[in-house]
Amino acid sequence: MAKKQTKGFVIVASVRKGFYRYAKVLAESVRDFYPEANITFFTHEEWVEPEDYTLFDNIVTEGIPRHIRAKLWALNKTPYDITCYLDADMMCEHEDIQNVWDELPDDMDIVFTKNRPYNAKLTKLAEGEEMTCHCGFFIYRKNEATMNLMGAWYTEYLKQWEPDYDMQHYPEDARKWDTFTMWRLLTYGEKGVKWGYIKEPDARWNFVNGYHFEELQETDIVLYHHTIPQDKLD
Amino acid sequence: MTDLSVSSDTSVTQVFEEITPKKKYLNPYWSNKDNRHLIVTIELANGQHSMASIQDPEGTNPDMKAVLEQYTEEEIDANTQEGLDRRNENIKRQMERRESQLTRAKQEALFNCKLEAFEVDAIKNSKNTELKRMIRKSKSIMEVQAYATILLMKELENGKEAD
Repeated sequence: MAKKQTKGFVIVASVRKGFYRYAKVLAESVRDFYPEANITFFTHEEWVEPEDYTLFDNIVTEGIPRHIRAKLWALNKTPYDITCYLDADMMCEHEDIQNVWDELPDDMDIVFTKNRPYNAKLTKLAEGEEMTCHCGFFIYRKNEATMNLMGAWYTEYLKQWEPDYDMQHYPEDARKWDTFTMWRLLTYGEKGVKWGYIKEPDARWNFVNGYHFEELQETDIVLYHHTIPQDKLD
Repeated sequence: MTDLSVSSDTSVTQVFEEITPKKKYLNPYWSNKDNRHLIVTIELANGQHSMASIQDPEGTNPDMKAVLEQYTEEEIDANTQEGLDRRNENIKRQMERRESQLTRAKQEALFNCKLEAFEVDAIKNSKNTELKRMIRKSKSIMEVQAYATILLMKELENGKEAD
């Protein structure tokens, strides 16, 4: 008999305490609609409060880098067979969150929602080269290919920041985006990963502030994605 | 006394008329075709550009004549249409941007309202999942406030019963 696959959410908060506070707001909202959800939280030990152990099933503090993209470090350390990564600045608004796992087809390793160019700071890199995957929410399967991808995501992101890194013909603005790293990996690297997009209306799974409501195609928002104001980050 | 020397060369030097380089007229378009009113960019000999308005209701304006030597009426009509299309596109884009900003602000306000509701201890710690979900699902600030009030009232009633 096949072993039952474990499924859970991964949330990461590092560097600025606002992310930790908002990560808890997110976890509480997920719990309100999905009480039995597995949620693993990667954060700094000194921030953890005793009640966090009732909110999260698993809290990982060991080795977490003090880095704005600590999420990339955490992704291949997921304890689940199928993981739904959530940016800390999201909020759950619907019980369909319980069915999020159905969005990852059996023949896929990782699925993303699509970037909306009208609402993104940067999507087009060059003629015919566009960052189409939104990296604030995605669902992935634990296998060798995706674990390698996630590992490479972090190391390649770090490389991208090195002064001698050649940005080639890509805009300098792209350097700071982990989306750019993922785009590079999916386009020119890790060929073994079977990736795709969440079927429409994908926007309901990652409804970013500023999206047009028509994107929902008469459905409800499951996860709302906001931007934490700078003054609330510390 | 100073010696006065007079040149013995009596040949004639031809003096050419100084020719002012012609102005170039760029991108003319009708401001009002019926009144023969054109707007055109003039490129001067030194490369400087200036915008000019040429009106010629009587058909006597030399500038209008010069423009029409350089461009056909069809070309000016096409420029006019192109400009109108560009302007309409800009207006459309501006309106979309404004609408987008409004939507964003509205969404942010709703989100902040939900956040504030869940900062109230009685709501945050309530076991009334049904009403908490309704607050989270609310599509307007009014809805958030209404459900938050109902939840608070229920919590107060529960508190009274427990006493």
